[in-house]
Amino acid sequence: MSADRGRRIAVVVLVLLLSLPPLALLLPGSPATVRVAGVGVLWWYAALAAPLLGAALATVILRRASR
Amino acid sequence: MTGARALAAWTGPALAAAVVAGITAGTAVAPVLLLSAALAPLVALLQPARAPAAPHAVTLALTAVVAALLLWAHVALLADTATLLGAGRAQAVVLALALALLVGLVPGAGRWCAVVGGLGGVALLLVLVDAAATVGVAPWTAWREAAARPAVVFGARSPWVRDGERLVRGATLAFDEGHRVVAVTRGTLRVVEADGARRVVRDWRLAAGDAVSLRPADTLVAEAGSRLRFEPGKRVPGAAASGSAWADAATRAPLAQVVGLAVTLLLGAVALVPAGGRRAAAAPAIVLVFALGTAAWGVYAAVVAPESGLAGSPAEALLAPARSATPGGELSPGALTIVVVVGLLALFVAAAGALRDRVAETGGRRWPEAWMTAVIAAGLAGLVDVVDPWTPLAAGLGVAAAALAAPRLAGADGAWIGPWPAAAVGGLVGVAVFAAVAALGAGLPAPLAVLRDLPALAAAPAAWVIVKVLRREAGETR
Repeated sequence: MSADRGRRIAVVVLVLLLSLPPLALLLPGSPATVRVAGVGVLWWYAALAAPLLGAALATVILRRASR
Repeated sequence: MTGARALAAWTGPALAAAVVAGITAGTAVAPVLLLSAALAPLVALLQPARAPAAPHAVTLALTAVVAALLLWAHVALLADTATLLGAGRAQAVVLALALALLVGLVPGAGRWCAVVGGLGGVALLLVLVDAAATVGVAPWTAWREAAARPAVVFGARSPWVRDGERLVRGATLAFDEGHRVVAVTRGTLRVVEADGARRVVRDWRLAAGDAVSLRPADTLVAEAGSRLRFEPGKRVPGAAASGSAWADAATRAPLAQVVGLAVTLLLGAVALVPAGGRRAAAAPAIVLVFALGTAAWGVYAAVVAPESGLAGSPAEALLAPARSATPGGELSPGALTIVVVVGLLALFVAAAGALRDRVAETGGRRWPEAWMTAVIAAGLAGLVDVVDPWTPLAAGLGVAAAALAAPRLAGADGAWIGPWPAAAVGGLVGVAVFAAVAALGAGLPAPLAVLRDLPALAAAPAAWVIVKVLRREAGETR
């Protein structure tokens, strides 16, 4: 996979990660109100999971580019 | 370009404060603001490197306008911080102006600014560690505790309860229960009493130490600079009704607002953060620390100082953990507050250096004058205390999205439309639509109301379409 293609795919994945909360607001049954270990699932996602995933993905792509 | 240098324009004090204050107050868009602040710069880092646009007076002017708006947001935040700490707004503005101008005079300033910004970030992390020690629990446990509060009330150690605190901006406070508010300094307070369906307006001229009693459903209107003292254990006016309401506000966020905010931040980052090169591999780690740090800071502030939005400035939430530190701890509240101020100043220097880089990259011989004009305009605007930092920050990111990022994404860089660079044409259309929507937004119908707050949602597509269409037509006529 070329470096440019990897970047494009990573950008699409990051934009998808950013789009999930608005999509969750549209779903019936208010899934964003669910709590995991006492903390709202939306907050787990926005404050921890998505930034971690995004940073890991971007690091991999940037490191590949720097080889 | 190193990761820190690439990101410095993004991780400025105004954005950090906006994220922290949003979380502390439990605003509906807080999670999306945090998420966008974390993911948008990563998208920008991974964008393909493009040929620079041809130097042109219009693109230089547009970049300078964006720089001026963002600097204004940072200067306003620093000025608010000074006001809350009892210093003069003008003193903070002069200090910020001097630092921003110094950035242009020091040789190799870009590299040094990134180092200074990194040190500022480390300083702020130290305060966060101290806040964690004070609260004594992990951020997720603190969130759980904040969400379990039966009511959001003034704590006994709150500065609003002990000595009284100053309103940075004029405020209209709605009370849900009886409350005795003391004017710490002389001034006039307006009370709008609810007498059934009737409203009775009374102006109280109060000497220092005088109090007004408010009943449930009464409203208190206080001018900027008023110093007020509240009762401990009473509900914070204007705050979420309970911990549960604080925790679940985000699940009731208006969809259009959420989308508009995400698009504005995403395109704003594409305009401000350059594509990551060989040396930017550490940048995602910086973004991650920024996201985790602001999230934890906001949650701790919600626990130790739930009244942090009362003064009308996001700076209050930034100062809250330091000011609420245990007096007998290793670092006193005063020392921690100084560390916060130094950290914010360092982030400001880094942001100013990066914004100067963006103006310089636009090219042309006149960029130093454009930068100087942007700095001075931002300083003068920062003196105006009625505008909160979020307004110029959102405007700066919106103009960046519409006038810089959208034309670039349409392939404007290096392209020409007749005698004009496509970036200049798209930028002019973007900024014109942005200004028109912002100016005429009050008359928009309800479904389009989101455009009033986030005009980039209309301006960016307009700029993108115009560049695409005109480029195609220019290509056909050649």
